Amino acid sequence: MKRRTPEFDRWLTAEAAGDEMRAEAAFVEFFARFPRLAPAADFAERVLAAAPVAVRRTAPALWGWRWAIASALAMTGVAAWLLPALRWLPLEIPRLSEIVKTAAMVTGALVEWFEVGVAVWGFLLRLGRWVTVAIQAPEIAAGLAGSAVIGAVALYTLNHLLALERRSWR
Amino acid sequence: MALADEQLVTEALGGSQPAYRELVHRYERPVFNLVVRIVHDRELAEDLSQDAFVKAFTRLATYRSEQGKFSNWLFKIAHNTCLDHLRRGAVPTVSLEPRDPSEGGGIPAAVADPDQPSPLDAAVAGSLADALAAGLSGLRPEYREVLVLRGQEGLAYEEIADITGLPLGTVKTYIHRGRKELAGFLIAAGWNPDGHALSG
Repeated sequence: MKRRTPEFDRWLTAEAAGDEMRAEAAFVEFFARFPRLAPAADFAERVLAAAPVAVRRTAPALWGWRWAIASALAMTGVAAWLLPALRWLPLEIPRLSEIVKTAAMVTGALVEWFEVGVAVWGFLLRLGRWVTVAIQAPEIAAGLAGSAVIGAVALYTLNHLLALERRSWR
Repeated sequence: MALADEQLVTEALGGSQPAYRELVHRYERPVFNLVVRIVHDRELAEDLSQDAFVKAFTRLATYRSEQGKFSNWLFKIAHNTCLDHLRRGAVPTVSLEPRDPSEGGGIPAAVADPDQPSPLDAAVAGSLADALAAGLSGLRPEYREVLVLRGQEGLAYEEIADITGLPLGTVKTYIHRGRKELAGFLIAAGWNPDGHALSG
């Protein structure tokens, strides 16, 4: 004998009666209990192996960064713990006045270097202004335009002469 | 407590391989179940499911939770992967489930998920599952797909329409026809409760 379930019976009965809503509801209820098909056990491993390189490698890279940060923090902690022991080491620790003096010398050198840089830029700025003023004068502008026209005509003539010369060789 | 899909996606995008692994474990069965119902070939279904996951992971950054559930997004990719394959028509599919109900079932007994909880009695579930699988195998692939999405994944018509790219009316029609055909097959196979004939 074929054994059925209540949901199954409700579904087929509703289908036979043409009761669309009941049939739909019973079918969903019955079908939800129908076991899903499963892939092979190693499916996940195969997917991850076939995944793009970025997917496979980002995690180790991230772990690398985490390890580096953790190691740096650990080493900082150890160094801080060992810091008082420096007093007993035969090292010459500079005095505060020497540090201030050196810092002042370095600052002075930097200021001088900066001053020279500003002077060079000031000269270039003045030069730019002179050129701008000169170009704005009508005589000089006309002269520049005339020079450009003469240059263009000279280039055209030279090209023409060279072409004639090449033809004469053939 | 299990993480939500969206959290897993965020972690995966941050480079967490366990998050990728969890996403695969969470959806390998629904995706494979859908794909194997469409293409009707177990090995091919594994390959296509794998392709679907790889595609999903490759474009994971484009997933937006505002546009819908992650599972639906994944189903859509799986659907398109199957469609591309069927359009190419490169490999003919071979049915694992005999159409004749008297021959018994093909796929379910061998590959059904053993962990799937079912309140049904084992013997009843086995024979009914076989009959249902045999009936499904005789349906058009598009009917099988919408029936699986509706019946096993419990999706709404609108969600199925979004996944398959079909108009809502077509989805309803496919579900209606597929269900009718399936019921007709089961009645013909002797599963009719009261000896009724199908209406319509």
